[in-house]
Amino acid sequence: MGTTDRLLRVEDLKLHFRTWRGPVQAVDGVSFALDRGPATVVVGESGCGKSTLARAILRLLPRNVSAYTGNVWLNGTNIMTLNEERFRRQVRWVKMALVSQAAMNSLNPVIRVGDQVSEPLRVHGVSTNKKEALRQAEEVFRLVGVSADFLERFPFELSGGMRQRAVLAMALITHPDLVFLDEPTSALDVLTQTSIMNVLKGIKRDLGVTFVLITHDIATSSELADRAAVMYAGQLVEFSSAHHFFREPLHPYSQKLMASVPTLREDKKLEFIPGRPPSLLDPPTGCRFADRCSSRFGKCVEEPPFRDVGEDWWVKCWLHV
Amino acid sequence: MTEQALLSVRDLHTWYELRKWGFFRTGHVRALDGVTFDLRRGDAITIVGESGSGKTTLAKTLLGLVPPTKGEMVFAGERLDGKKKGKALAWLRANVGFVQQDPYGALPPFMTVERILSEPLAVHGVPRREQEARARAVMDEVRLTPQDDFVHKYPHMLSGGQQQRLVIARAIVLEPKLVVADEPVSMLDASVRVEILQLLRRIQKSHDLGVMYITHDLSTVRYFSEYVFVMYAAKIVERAPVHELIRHPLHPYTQALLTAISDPDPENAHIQKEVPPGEPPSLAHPPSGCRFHPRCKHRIAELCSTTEPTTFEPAPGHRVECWLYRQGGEG
Ligand SMILES: Nc1ncnc2c1ncn2[C@@H]1O[C@H](COP(=O)(O)OP(=O)(O)OP(=O)(O)O)[C@@H](O)[C@H]1O
Ligand SMILES: Nc1ncnc2c1ncn2[C@@H]1O[C@H](COP(=O)(O)OP(=O)(O)OP(=O)(O)O)[C@@H](O)[C@H]1O
Ligand SMILES: [Mg+2]
Ligand SMILES: [Mg+2]
Repeated sequence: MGTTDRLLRVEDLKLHFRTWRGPVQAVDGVSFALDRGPATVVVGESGCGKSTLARAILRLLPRNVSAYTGNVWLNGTNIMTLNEERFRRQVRWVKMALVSQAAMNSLNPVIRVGDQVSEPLRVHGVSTNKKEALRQAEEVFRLVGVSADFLERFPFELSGGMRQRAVLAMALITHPDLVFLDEPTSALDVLTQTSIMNVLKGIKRDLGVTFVLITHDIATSSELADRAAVMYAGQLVEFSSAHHFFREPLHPYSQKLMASVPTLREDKKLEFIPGRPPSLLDPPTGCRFADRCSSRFGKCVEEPPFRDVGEDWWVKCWLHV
Repeated sequence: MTEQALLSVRDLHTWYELRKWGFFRTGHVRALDGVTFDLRRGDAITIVGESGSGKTTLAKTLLGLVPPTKGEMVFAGERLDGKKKGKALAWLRANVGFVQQDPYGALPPFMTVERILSEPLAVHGVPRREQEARARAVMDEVRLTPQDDFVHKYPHMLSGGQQQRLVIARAIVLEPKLVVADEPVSMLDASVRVEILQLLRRIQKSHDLGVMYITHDLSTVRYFSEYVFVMYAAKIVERAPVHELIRHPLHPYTQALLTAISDPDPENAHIQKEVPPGEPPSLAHPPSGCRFHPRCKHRIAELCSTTEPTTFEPAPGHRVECWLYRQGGEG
């Protein structure tokens, strides 16, 4: 898949969880590659494995992992082969950071925001000097549009939008190349969402940070997207430019997903996708979307390959091989 | 008050007391601060506003769950004063269905689908024989079918969309005249959202129901109702038919809200959007004059910061509380 000079390359990544009902195949054979700069959005229905994909790449694993395989190259280094100590010192937070789904509500209530935001610097040994760390915190605060006085405050004194900016600042303080944002705006009001998207656009443009935005809010994701990855039942089904995804997606699931997104300015007929995604305990052996797909045919009982149809546009569907 | 109004609300205020150590009164949160509107039978209206603007408080006040501080509510010819007890409260509950904000919290975890639907019927004295038939009929309406697959399930065995359909089924099981739906789809995936909104719409039409749809998401509004009310800081600041509001928003706050909403368009990534500075005010200490004035780029010096705007009607059926429209004459 592409050349090795890409920022991130993921090959056949799997992360399964052990449960009393059997293994949950939350991420099941995902491959894709990202260049430095363009932002990618990862979309798909709830439970399709979006958050798990980010955790698998950052190796943030719960206790009940039953399978964790595949390869992940970051700047040409296969980070799956690093031991935990080196992964922690050289990769996680240093080169790649994650703003997790509930981060803004899990700030420590009794520690000043400035100390929390600068913590990654101390933990990862980038800077041990407290004064220097706070100076850097001030700098990233400016970047995310929060005045430096907020460094002295406690999380409960901040509005939701301010807390979300603070956790974003925390992810950026170590100057990582790649930042995963898991539903960073879904708990926020529209105006707050928009100002945070403005901040992200600015950081992408001015600092060249590569973002991966995980969300089920497709309309808002278009504010940042240069590329789009569509997940379904633990797998990627389409990976393309944002233009192709929003205007002319190829996979029937991507098409249906787009048809369910309401538009404010245009009166289109909304459709919903009948049925539900399959259980990840026992997903279908062929195409996982087949039983909800109106274009299915005989071949769909076999698993389709994830193929490049040209222009770095990947589709997992028998209609496009 | 118009003759045919099913619900008529006049100058409604709901203030929550702020207490120190649960005892000393230290002030009020003015969660609803002078709201006036009518809703006719068979109409669907949308109340849209950001978090904390008072939407849930409005719903709860109408349902008699919190007492109004002042103002008047008349529903189906009966005055509601928020102090209803016994029979009068039962009558209100039978006639106003409530779909509350969080479907998980709304459903009792230890009851089966069948019991959840027959309980309100039992409470309102519907004979046992009819309860089952009625429960099955509403399950059909919300498409929880085949009913036999669902009647013995507990809420945690249902998907988010199915739970929300169950909440809707329970809200209509007593055949109310009005349904208040507070953020009925905000926790759901886009596709399930569409399914539930289309379902509510169909039920609204087929039963000639009045529906008050409460949301913070303006982008779903045009698919659901004819009329929109925009709330900001405990007040309705603009009201208009949906298409009129989307095409010609008048209040600077509504304009900002509409600008902020994204359509799924790849061009969005290349533009910065204008957002008004600051955040909504504290409802314990709302600003004087127009509540939006500290964030408003069109504010008129002296006037907007000191004097509360009255209602203007620059176009028929389109009303706005903003001094920019004062030449239009009072509505
Ligand atoms: N530690 C775990 N043990 C067992 N199953 C898990 C675990 N973590 C996640 N899962 C399951 O893995 C699947 C994928 O979950 P994940 O959180 O990645 O989905 P998601 O796409 O992020 O969904 P959402 O949009 O709701 O956040 C789900 O079925 C979830 O229940
Ligand atoms: N029981 C209460 N006691 C004191 N203040 C309250 C109470 N309930 C709500 N409030 C306050 O009243 C205001 C309006 O709250 P309300 O829940 O009506 O807003 P909302 O528009 O429904 O918001 P959301 O979109 O977040 O649901 C808020 O400032 C809230 O903090
Ligand atoms: Mg998730
Ligand atoms: Mg509410």
